[in-house]
Amino acid sequence: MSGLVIRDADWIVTVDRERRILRGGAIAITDDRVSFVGKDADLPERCADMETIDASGLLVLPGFVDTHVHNTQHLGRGLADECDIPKQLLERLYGYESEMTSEDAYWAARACQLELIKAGTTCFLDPSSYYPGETAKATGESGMRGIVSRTAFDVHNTTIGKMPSKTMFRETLSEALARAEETVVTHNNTYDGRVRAWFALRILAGCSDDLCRGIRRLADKHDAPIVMHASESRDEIVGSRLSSGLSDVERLDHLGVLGPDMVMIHMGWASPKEIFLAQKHGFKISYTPSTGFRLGMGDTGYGHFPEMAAIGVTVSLSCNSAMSSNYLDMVRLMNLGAGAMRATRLSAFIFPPEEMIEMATINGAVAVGAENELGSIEVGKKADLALFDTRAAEWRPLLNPLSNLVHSARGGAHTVIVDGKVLMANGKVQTIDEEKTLAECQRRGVIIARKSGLDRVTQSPWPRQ
Amino acid sequence: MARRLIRHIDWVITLDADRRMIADGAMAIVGDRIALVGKSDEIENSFQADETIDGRTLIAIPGLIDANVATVQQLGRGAADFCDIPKFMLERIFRYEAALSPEDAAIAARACQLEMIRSGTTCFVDAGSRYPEVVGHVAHETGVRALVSRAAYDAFDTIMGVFPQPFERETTKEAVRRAEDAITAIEKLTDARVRPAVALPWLAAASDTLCRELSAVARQRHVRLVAAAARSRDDAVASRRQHGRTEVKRLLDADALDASTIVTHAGWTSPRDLVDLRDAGAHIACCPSMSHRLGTGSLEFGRYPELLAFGANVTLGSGSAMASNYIDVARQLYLFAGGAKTYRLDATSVPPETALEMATIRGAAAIGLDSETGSLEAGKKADIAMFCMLAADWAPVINPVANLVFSSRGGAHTVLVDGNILLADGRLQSIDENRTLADAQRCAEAIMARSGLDRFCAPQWKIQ
Repeated sequence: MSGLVIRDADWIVTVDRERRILRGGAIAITDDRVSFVGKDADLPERCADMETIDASGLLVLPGFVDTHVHNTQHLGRGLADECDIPKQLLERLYGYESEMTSEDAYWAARACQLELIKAGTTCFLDPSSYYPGETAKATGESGMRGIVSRTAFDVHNTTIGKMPSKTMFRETLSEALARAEETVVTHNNTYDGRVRAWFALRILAGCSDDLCRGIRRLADKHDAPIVMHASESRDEIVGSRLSSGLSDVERLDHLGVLGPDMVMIHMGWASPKEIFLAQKHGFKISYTPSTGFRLGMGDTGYGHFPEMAAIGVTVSLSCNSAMSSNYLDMVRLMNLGAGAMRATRLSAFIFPPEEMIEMATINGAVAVGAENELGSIEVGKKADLALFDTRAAEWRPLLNPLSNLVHSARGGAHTVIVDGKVLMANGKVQTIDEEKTLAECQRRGVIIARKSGLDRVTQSPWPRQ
Repeated sequence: MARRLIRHIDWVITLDADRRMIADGAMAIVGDRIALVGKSDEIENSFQADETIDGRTLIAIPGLIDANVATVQQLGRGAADFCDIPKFMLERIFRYEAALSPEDAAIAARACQLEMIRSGTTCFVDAGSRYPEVVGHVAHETGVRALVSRAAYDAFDTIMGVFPQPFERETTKEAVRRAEDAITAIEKLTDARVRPAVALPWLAAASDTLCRELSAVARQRHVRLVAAAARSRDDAVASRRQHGRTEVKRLLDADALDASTIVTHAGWTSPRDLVDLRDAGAHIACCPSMSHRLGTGSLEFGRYPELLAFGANVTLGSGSAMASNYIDVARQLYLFAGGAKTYRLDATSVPPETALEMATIRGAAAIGLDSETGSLEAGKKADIAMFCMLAADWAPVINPVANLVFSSRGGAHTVLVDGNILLADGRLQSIDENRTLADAQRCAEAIMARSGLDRFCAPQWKIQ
């Protein structure tokens, strides 16, 4: 058995059942689990010899659970800016993905997880790509916790436009189903259980009714959940209504595929009926404020996330990707997710810091079906922790630690622990070669931008010398 | 005079008239001014430097200009959360300010300027306070460029409520005289970096006479008038109820709206106000994070992209630790661009370049210093902010301006003002950081206890 103890923490925000906040706290970790949480003075004798992290000046949180991260899009940061959604999806995202190799996908996942770890995220849900194996491998190496899934599309001429011509975007129904199943069979519960695999429906415009039903059958067969994007943008909703007469989730209800084992990403344009369906079927929501903000989708203005939360629907928080966000940082997301919603509702009372922290931790854990293991700092749970330095200029004075975390902090964690292992210590990532990864990210990003032709449409209009 | 060369800068975003972006660029600095800007290999060969700084992995932009910072509110971070505007002003802000001693104000101003320097801000417009001399003196020490002013109020029984008792009452005459005295005191610092202004931070607490007389002072002394207007719907309704007009119209009627006026917010404007602001040549400071934190919606309901398109000068401001709750213009770039996109359901509405212009060259125009700062050009002041791009939240870099606005979490690497290095590779040069932050913490706790504001600072979750 190995042990690690965190001592003298200025603040431990447990997010446990009583939502206790501890001053001068300590956490003992035995192997991969928390074995003690309490006042430093009450630390058991047996912990005296353990390896110690001095957490004075630091605030300890449960590691963030980000319920929507496209690892493979990481090399395309900035390639999907300044355009409407149909173009953003079909020409930019899929155009980029068409040009990437499996090796690119591996380095994309590595760079992506570097950014996630630096921000204090310990677990992600990847709602599909064509390279779940590469994402799984990178996750195994980085030490993070992650859920991978494979993209399934079988409609090639969608209501918002044509899919790219590359073979992978042109799969038949049976190919799409077979590869999704293979992904779950191959990758679920690998790397000490840190990596899991789910089924995914990416955007519903690209999924036939048979594909939706087929994915549901496979999910039931393998007891693996489904992650999907739904009611994402007005453009897609209009498309869905044109083709099926129904909006996204209403269509899924009609097909009989809804269930509590689903995570619906976006949902900013959910109809009243769809909000009712969330409550009825108990599927979980992934609120993605920075995507709507950057892409002009309006989630933060038109979405009914405060209402969903109030009626008991699980609302978690997510960053999306370097191409659609364009950053992966739950601290910044808590700030934006609350602030943008307050501004449109003209109320300072919407989404207090406590609610945002819940979304980013325990609600994320509920969404990924792991609330007994993740999302709070409690004895018996996995030791997934994020520590933040409160001695920085934007944190001082510190009068209310939760307000400062959500309203003031710039983001960026100090130390990150997953499964009892230190992935980042004092700002230095231990499991990823940062310099090499950033260099690969730059080199490969430029090549893909050139190959896809996206470098031409995403340059600054200002002249270069 | 010191001769400095910063060479091999990955990107120099000049914001000059042509908006040139120079890859592998360099800047030669002589004393307080930029002597040369261009390709690194060309400048290295033609400039003899005493000191050379390696700019590899860095992006250089003109030092950011924060067009609205209430520096003395720095010690109240988190003490004004969760309330509507009348409560925010009367119960929180003024109660806090009334409890502030000159020593507290100095510590607040220093901690605030520290946060600004760390964000890449080289120049700020103070929103106005009771301690302009203190704020000015601190700016003189820290090396930041500043526009400071005394806050003028003469109506303490407002339609939104009464000022808290400890807040000192003054007559119109006193308010005007003290504003003038502050100008004189700032001028006595004889520091070209620290310049005086006059301020109307809250029009609900200012009579029409005060607006008129203060504006006359501004004209007579050749200083800016900084006036907050149309910040929130509550303010807009109060103005219509009490004065039968919008706040912008009140300024116009009081001869207080012209090319030397900086109107902070201007989010809840009438269509007519937009025309008046534009025609007067007034400068507008949009404050995105205040809109978000306070729930005022000035960013979302404001017509800033339209004002820009119609030819008005719109800049960006942070607000304060009590209203924002952070001081960082780089983070405002993101909120401004994103806010405009999301509310209009149009990803093309505000490109990142527009946001960066607002926080640099447009900010310089707002304070009347666009011939001196706001862009990286030969002959201008060496006010420079550099950010490290070799970071997980930056890579890969295709369009560096887009990454700065949409991806970077902010936080500068190196900052120069007037050719002086204020931040070098993340280390502050003109401020003792540990001491300042410790002082800030200690004084903040004391202020909270004596003002009774401490009861508003507790989390909803129980602390053991």
